[in-house]
Amino acid sequence: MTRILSQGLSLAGIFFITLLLMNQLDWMKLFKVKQATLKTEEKLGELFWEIFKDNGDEVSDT
Amino acid sequence: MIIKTYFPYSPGEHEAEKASNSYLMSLIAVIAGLPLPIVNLIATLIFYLGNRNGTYFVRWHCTQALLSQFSLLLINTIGFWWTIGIIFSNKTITNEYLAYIITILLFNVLEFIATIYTAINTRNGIHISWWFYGDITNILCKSRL
Repeated sequence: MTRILSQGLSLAGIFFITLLLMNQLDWMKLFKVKQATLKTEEKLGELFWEIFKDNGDEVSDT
Repeated sequence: MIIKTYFPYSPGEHEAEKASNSYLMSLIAVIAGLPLPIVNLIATLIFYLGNRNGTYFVRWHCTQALLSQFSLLLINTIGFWWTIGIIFSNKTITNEYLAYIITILLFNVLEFIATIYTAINTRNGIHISWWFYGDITNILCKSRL
């Protein structure tokens, strides 16, 4: 029983140590998350602007 | 992590096939129900229930396959609901989230490789006991002889 407990605890330990090590890396930078988010935001903005422009009159003389 | 151990008797061809199928079941379920962590467990549980009255070798390996899915379910469920939270609420992707997803991906791949290895060996009648899970299986699954 103690063997199983220690094995289970070691397994959980291995998991948490891996998680801790993985946390040391800057994945946000590695996967360029910020750039991708900005790009998507820009694209979405363009898309919505196109929809608004098609559905109404644009007031451009203000 | 994986040990080839001695089994009280040498299993027949029919038993080896059934025992190997219990591992294959979880592999197929991984491919079929990839985003949902519970599918694996349900598939192995159904196979386990179907073979509860099978021979000792079959029962033993069905139990080990089922147990190995429990810990995966635990870590995968957290990852799954975290992802759902990010998609459907105003939470954003953080470094902790990415680290967690990569860690569970790593553990899933390791389990996948171990399962393939075990399925192949069990098919050949070799008794494979996993570290930690094998010992729990020994407690839960007893010979009826």
